[in-house]
Amino acid sequence: MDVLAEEFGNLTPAQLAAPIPTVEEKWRLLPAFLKVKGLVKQHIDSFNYFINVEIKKIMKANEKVTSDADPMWYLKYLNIYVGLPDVEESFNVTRPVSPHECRLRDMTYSAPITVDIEYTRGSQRIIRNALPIGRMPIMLRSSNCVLTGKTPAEFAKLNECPLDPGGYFIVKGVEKVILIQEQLSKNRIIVEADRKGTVGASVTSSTHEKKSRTNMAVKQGRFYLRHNTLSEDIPIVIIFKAMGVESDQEIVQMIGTEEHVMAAFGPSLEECQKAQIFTQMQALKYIGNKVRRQRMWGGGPKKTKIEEARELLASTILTHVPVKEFNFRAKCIYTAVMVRRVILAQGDNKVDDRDYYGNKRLELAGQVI
Amino acid sequence: SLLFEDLFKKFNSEMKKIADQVIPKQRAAQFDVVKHMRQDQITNGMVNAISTGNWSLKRFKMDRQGVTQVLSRLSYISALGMMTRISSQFEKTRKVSGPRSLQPSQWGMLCPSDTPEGEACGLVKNLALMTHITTDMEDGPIVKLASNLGVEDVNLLCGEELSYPNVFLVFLNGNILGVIRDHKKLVNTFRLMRRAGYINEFVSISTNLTDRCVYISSDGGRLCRPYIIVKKQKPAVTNKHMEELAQGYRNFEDFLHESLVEYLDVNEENDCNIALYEHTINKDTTHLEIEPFTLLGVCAGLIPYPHHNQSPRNTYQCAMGKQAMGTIGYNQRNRIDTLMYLLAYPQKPMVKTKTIELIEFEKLPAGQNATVAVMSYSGYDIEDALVLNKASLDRGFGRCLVYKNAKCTLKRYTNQTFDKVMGPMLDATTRKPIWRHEILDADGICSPGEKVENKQVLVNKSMPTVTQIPLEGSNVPQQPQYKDVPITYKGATDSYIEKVMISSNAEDAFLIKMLLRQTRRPEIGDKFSSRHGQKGVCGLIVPQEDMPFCDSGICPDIIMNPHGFPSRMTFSEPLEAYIYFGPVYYQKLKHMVLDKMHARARGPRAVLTRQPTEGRSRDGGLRLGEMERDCLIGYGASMLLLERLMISSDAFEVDVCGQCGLLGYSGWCHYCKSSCHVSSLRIPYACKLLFQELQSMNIIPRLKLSKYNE
Repeated sequence: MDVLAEEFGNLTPAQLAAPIPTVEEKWRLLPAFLKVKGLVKQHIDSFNYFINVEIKKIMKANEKVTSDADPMWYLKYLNIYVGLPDVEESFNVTRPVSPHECRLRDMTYSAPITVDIEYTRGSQRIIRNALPIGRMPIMLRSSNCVLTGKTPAEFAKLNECPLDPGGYFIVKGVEKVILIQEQLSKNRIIVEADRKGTVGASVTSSTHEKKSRTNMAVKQGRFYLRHNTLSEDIPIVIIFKAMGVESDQEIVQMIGTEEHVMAAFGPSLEECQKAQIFTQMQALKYIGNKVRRQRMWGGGPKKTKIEEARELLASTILTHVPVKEFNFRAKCIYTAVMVRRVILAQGDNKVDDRDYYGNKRLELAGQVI
Repeated sequence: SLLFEDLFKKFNSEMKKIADQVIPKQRAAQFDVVKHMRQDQITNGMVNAISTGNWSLKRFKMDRQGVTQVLSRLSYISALGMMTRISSQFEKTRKVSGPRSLQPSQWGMLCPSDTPEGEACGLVKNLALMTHITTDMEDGPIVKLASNLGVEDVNLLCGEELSYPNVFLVFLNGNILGVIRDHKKLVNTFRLMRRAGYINEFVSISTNLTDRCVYISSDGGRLCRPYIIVKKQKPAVTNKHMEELAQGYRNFEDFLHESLVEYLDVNEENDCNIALYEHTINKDTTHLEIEPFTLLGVCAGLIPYPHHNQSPRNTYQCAMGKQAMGTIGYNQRNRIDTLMYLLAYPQKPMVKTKTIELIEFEKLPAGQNATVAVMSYSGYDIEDALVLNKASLDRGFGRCLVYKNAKCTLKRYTNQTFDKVMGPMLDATTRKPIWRHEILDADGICSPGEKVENKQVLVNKSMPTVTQIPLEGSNVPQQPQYKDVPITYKGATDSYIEKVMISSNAEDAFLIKMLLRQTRRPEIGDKFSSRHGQKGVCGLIVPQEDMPFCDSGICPDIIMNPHGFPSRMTFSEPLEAYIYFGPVYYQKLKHMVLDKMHARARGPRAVLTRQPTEGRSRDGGLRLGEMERDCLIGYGASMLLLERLMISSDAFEVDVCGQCGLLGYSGWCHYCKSSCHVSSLRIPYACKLLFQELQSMNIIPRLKLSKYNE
């Protein structure tokens, strides 16, 4: 009775006896949904986002070109646009083109990419607008396609089928689809057991500049950080110290003060002690010696081992955690959370499921192109 | 935007390189970058990547193949199905079941039926009907909102808070944002704000109780789908709303803005309690499914009563629906594709699903409603064979059009010569075009409406013999010489010329495209299938007077053997056909005997080995393989073996010297410089080739000869 009271207690007998009105025809939401989203709209949305928003961000990120030969010379992009698909009829004469014409004539359905630039010529500063830098294949039915917003009658005039889903490209007269790619989520901690059953954590970090994979491994009860820019596994406590957390107490506090957590982390502290590393400088030097030599094609000023190690920790390891002016606080906590996850997973084997769809991301045309 | 970013960076570094080189040189003359901005780098980079599907970006160490595919235009469904396809990065060869198996979290997001069989099984998936994939969005407002809701910044923590039992970590897109004490309040307010439209509808927030975390995601690529919000055990959407929708006062966006419907991604779905039907709503329910059939994708949506079928049958139909002929679009007659299959009289299905209406399959159907009798009739219907009614075929059942194209470009070469199209060659005596040129117009291009037979010429093109710029000093003939390079029709069956297009392509060369048509009526061996994974080939065509009929006088178009049902358990087919007799929507599949039948007695041989060529397209022989050979050995049919493997393949007469054991030539041993021990014998040409190849590698194979009667 109590259970029932909990559920129905606040209802009057009249309410209880009333028939439950059901929402009929709620499936009619579906055609309404398909008008705005779903099926191929994701391809189109993704491409629209790319040519209208993302392309400007890319331009902003790479807006300046300078030269080593002349410090006065520069080129700066002010704006970038993707135009409407056209075809060059004869020299410098263009006209809009329809997708069907491209299919028939084995052409590419593409639009010019134009930029506004500011640059120096001699001592002058010049601004030029709408300079073409290349051509972008245009997805059918995207915002820059000639088919958008047309009525079925206009479709017929363009030799196009109004029911055609769009979302593909026409390149050299061939219709090409960029398939949706399934990938593991970027920037997420995945705790997993390897073949021998030892638990470890891994993060594939990805930003616009870099992509890297950081692993947390356990060997004989001790925690190590593994990364392909480092020639060997680095004890995690040394990493903490290199990131400026020199006190063992603070490290343990970050990871967790529960009895079993501390017990699991103890050996790692001991190892660092044995390696005789107590300060940030010592730790950085230790890491600096383990950095894998990279081919230096930039030349640039020579860096010391310590600087190199600090640079590596700040920008390459766990790239996606931002480090401003070598403030490693966020990265320390992130690393501590990784260690903690591994320790907690060790006990009752609560590892993550790689195949779980919440851990997956789908890449669409706009992200790939 | 990986590819474009890479190309743009390359473009910029190229300009920097040019600037570095040019500026020191031309101090006086002013350096103008605009002259050095070359368009082709970005253009070609994009076009090549899309047309080959090879994505190789050095910056990210990315090297992917097969990112793009040619859109399959077999039917409208196959094109639509391709747009919803998902390919996985996982290698196909590895034998791990985990990534291939159906995950519970795929519910409603990916179609559980639509996946190929074989090596890509479970790795290639398809989106369900209502799935949406998010795009990236700004996270600035989310950070602000989170801190307003009491999330404490990570940079201000001492570290110990992380392990407090009531403190939850807050992540935004994988980065730690901070910690929160009252996570329930955070999540609830966050959802309220989203429903009220203060933050983007695709931002998701979910709690993970085991890790004591709150995950907020705003990144792109997440799968999500809309659900009806349930408040106080009642769905927020009422009949009134639905009426307004039907009358056009409302659209889907209004449902979102008025917090009647919201999007949930996979992680948030896991945090909710979603009722499938309205009567299953209880006090914990947070959301209601819009309609259960949306868990299937477009291909599985064509199946009537899919819930009455054994599940693999639905998967088979998903694969076959993509091979069905029908219509591909309203513009199908204007297209000149390399291969196009159309049905002459497509019909919309009599038994339809809601999905069929939604994706407008009825307007571009792929199949016909056939009257099917499930019964045994003659012996020509065993093993899934179908018996077809001849009168139905005469009336156009299963009749299809096959279009192919022929292409030709007329180029202009560097030495100012160009390709030409010559008029038909006339017979010297009759003054009529020779047979090969019979269908050509005066301009040398075939004329529409004509019938083309095998080896007839479609375009009588000729090409200059010299196309390079002549070397200086060498004498060039004044009149360029031409050689014939005709475009000929190849095919065992005749075609008709539907149309000819003359245009120019992007490189300013003339482009001639011809569309060739064949009309085919079903014949024995053509493949058909119903929409239940029940495929079969035509085994017999029976005149209508010999066909059975029912009490109301209806004569079936197709007779299907009942043995196809017990083991396959496709109960939806008898449902569609009123148990044993009635209309069933039948698909004609693209596999037709005409394209596959092949036999050979004599024919072409490969140059190197002198063995018969391989494959139907080269009029190849039928191979007696290793296993067949084993059978003959086991049976002891040695003379048959000899005939199959040598005499009718690559028998070759060689002269062998009995003294040195090497091959001679025309009765003379070149090694012994004599002809007294040379004898002639027949060996496979491939064997002789092997001996010579071994000799070229300094290994001497010697044949020991002895007389068989000694």
